[in-house]
Amino acid sequence: MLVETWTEDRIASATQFVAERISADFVETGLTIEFRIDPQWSGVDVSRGPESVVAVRGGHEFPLHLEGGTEQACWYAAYQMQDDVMGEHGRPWPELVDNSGGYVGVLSLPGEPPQIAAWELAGQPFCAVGHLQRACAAAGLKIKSL
Amino acid sequence: MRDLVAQRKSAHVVAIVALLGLTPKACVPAGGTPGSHSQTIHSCSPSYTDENKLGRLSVQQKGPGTSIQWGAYPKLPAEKYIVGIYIGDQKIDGKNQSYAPHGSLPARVRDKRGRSVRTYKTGQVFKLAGTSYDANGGVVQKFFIKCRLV
Repeated sequence: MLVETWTEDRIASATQFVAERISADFVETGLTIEFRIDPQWSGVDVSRGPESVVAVRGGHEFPLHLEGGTEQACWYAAYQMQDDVMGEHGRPWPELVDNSGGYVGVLSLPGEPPQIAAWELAGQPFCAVGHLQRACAAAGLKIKSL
Repeated sequence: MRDLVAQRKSAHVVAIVALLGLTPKACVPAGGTPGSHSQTIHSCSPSYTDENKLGRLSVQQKGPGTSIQWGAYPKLPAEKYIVGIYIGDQKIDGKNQSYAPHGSLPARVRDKRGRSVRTYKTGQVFKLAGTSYDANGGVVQKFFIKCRLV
């Protein structure tokens, strides 16, 4: 259930939560994410609401879609940043390998907002966004180095 | 980013080497709103590509209510690419990077009430407008494409 009321404190808490989860998953890529409020991006008559939160990842800027909640924001930020990683390195990421280096698969994010932001392996949930590194370790897998 | 483009466009060193695209829809009118002078707008679905010797611009929308993929692949060497992606007049993505830009937009997101809503409406115009720069900040290419979403 979503609480529709957004205060500045809630937005700050929510963006911090998203930032921590994204940073945890993308720590080995060198990519970082920041946020800023920019009502010009929202296109609606809200001056500083959740629609105005813009994610900044290096030279890439996109609306966070925080209005749909932190799970949506985590999903969308990870969705965009996965594209950035693959674009910058010219190869799929995150590619999972087993302990012998054997190919397991490449994680992806669903094309539509899920109830819980999660990485998928072959179309099946693998772990929540924010737990990628530890989930891989717990599964006996590694993310192939970039 | 918009300020950066404007600043560089006004510099004396700016020399537009080439405009990508063979038709007026693929060009950025000087000082004009991207796409504002186009008369004919192609459908984005299932794809729309504008390609010539200077590069390729592409938009894919598999069908009504599906996600959108876009890419700009100018052929002239450049150090930096800056693009803005718009649906109607609304900016939905912006990139400033050292490699040819591409990206995607999901078909749906959830609104404040948790309802799944489309990220665009049928009939809206998708626009990509960008500029590539050399190492000195000079403009190498300007490129532009737009199409109508189904």
